[in-house]
Amino acid sequence: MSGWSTMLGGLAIWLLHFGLVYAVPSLDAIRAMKPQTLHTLHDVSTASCFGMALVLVIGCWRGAAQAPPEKAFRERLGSLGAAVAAVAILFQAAPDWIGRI
Amino acid sequence: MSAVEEPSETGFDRTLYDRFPTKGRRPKGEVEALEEIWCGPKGWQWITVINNNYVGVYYVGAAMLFFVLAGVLALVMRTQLALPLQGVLSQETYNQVFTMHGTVMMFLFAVPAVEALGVLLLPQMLGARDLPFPRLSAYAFWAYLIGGLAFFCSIFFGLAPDGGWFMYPPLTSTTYSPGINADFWLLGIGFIEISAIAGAIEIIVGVLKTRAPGMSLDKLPIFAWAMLVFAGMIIIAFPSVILATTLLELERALNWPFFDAARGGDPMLWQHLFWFFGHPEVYIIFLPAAGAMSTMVAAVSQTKLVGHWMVVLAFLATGFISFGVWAHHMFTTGMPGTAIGVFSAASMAVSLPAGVQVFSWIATVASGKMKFNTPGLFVLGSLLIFVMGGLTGVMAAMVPFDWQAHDTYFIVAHLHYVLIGGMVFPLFAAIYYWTPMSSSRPLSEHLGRWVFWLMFAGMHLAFLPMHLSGLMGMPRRVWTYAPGRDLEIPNLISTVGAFLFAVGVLVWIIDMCRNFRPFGASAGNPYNGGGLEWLPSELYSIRSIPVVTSLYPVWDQKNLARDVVAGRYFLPGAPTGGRETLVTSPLNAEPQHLLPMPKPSGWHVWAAVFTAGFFLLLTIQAYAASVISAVLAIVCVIRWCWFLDHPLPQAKVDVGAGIQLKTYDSGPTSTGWWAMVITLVVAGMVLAMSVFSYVFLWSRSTAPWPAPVNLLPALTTGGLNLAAIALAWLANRMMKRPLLATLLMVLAGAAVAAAWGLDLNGWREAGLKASMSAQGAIVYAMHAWQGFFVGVSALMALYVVLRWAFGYVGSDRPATMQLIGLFLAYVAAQGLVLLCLPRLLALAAP
Repeated sequence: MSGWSTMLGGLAIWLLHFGLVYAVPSLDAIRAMKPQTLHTLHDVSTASCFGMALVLVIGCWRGAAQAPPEKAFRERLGSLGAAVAAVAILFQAAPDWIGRI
Repeated sequence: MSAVEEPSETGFDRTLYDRFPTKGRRPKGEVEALEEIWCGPKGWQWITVINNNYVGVYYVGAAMLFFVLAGVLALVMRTQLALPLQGVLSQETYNQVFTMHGTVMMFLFAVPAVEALGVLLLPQMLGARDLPFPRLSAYAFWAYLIGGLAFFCSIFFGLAPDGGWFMYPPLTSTTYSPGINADFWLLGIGFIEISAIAGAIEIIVGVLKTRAPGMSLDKLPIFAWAMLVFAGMIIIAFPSVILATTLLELERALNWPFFDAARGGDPMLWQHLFWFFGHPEVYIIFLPAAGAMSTMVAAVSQTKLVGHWMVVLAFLATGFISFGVWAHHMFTTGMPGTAIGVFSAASMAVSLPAGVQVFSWIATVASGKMKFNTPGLFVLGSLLIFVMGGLTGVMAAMVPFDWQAHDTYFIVAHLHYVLIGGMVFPLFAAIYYWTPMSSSRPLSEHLGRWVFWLMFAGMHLAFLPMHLSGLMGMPRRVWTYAPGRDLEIPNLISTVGAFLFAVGVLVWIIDMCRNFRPFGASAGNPYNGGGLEWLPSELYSIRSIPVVTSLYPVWDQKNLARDVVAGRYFLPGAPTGGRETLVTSPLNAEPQHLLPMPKPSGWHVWAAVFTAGFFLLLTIQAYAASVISAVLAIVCVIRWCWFLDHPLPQAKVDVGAGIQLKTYDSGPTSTGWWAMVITLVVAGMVLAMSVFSYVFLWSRSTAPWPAPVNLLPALTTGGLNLAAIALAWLANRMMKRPLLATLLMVLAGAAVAAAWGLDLNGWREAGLKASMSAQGAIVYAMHAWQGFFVGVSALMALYVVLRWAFGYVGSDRPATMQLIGLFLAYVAAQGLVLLCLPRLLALAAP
């Protein structure tokens, strides 16, 4: 399983973050919540997911450098996937941040 | 082999690979034995055949038949729209025709065509004798063909669905769509999705478990990567549409108000469920085509794919993020502003992986020596068309623009550019490219160029003006339009283009009739492809299964074809005397065991016939006949399964170079275990979408949703479900005592049934009625779903008892009991979700 988690971890975090930032405004639609609470939920989700993605980027990058070819391939995929995820997480978070201006 | 090695994934000693290619001559009669075991069909065996070389060709052929049929419908529509106020079709018929065109293209052509390509190509690409469940492939094919033809024929009786290919309620409710037209769509599509899921299970297990030794993930062909992601997406996305169609059919047949706002339902639920499937569907169609493109672009450029691993990442990224864009079809429905922003951002982001693929193809073409043969032309044409469609997609991802373009011909143009560029052109490229592999004659280069240019010109003529007519305000799905609004010329040009495209397809049909000669010798490797599929092969696939050390083994591994044909690699003969293939590990493809494969029989065909019969008879409301057909289908499936899980007399055999492998395995190394786990993921996705539906409807309700208050039955239900999990686990620990193991498994089945009955009774006693409110509808729908699983559990319990009676339960053959144990544990866990969800939400009033 660790091979698959390495490869797909970053992308899974991306999707998880997407689910969270979609769920937060939907929560608001279900029961009116204070804007500050929603913003905090959004920011905490974003910071956590971004942090996890960064950890994966660094971990996989270092792993790829020392690994044999089969494993290096998976680590490289994991590293770049997490890097893309990190950027995407910020991009996905942007609509809410822009909305606060 | 590299100096630094990753530890073995399975304990297999990889230095054994150094024994290959073996030296010396193989014993006489090996090839003859293989030919006899894998011989072609005669007479009725053409129907019961299961070899992928046959089923794959049937499958592609059927998909292309539906492409042509749906294309004819398009021509009829374009004739109607060529001039204003035409009377070629009545309004009602036009509604049926556009609904059938979209539905057949999406469900009966696009997904099955790429799945068919996988069935045909994957075993050869992976170095397997066949996919691991050949009867499942054949079942999927027959179910699809029979169901698809019956569904299509509905148009000849005026019974075809007419609510558009996404069938939004309330338009498709009984109020606005009386009659059985909508039911044909709901039951027909639900059934065809089952076929698609069966094919996806086959593909996932095939790619992960039946690769040639040494074909680790970094050496996995790019097409196989694409098919793996594609099949994974089917497993996640399709359950959503199965649930949606079931709910709408329940509403229509039993008046359960899931989508009826007057009784607490919400038509928006349909849109969420449909598009959670519908948008990933676009990528489901696109990814295998992109995999084929990535393979072909390397071959026609005679160089390796630039950025192979980035393209793999792009496939994976597309697979993930495509599940975050479904609501971009719903920008005009009044969703919360921030949610719209998030979906808009994701919709733009998903164009990045597509961009990576496009740039990789351009770089590959630029770095190699491009040959402008027919596959090459289609590859380039596809690139251009897909990029154009992708750009208008990014435009539509911008909310203000989408508000203007929504439901206009601009969107029709966009989706056709994406689908034709992203799937149809790559498919035609693939047909021209891979035909020499499965036909004794390649298709004609001369005619192929005509096909390309006619289709290319026709495509642009047909769809480029639609951007304009859309921006000028022409809504999609209109039966006609008024003169004097400047729509005449763009529509006339579109019609001319559509007919030009059709002429291209006609020339292709002529080419196929003249040159396609399947099931015999292959025409060689005229495009000099680098994958294993280009090794000389027969009906048993390749003579021996090589150790793969390169992503392009035919290019990089010296004398590979010679040694493979000489039987100098794995499995040069048939050591068990039957059909078989190697099972390898998912990451590094290390040999694990030998998989005995079935011979052809008629049971899967009958199972497909009766399954189709069940759905079709249900559609025309012949309930008794439908039930009989279902029972017959179950009997056929049980008889089919009866052949499974019988260990061979030889516990281990020599698979080449003195390497001994087991002929039986169970648990996570076996293919059956993987198939069951994937099946349970499908079931879990239906459950997850049901939970989403419950929460969605609950959140829309202004009244509280109460739950049964009596604590004791709830605790008993929970206890019974937990006991079922424990009993199923215990049964597998007691395999040395067959009677006890059987009894424990039967008890586990009884426990889940009792838990289900008790929970259901609690709701009935609480006075909840299914037709009364959305809560009633969704609660009983979820219990009906659980009831279906309880029914299957009962059948499994019966099956275990039968196996015990025949002496087939024992520690020497644990696989069946393991799989049934897994299933029962899942059913019990699902019962726990059903128990907890309503009670937890009842505590939090909406």
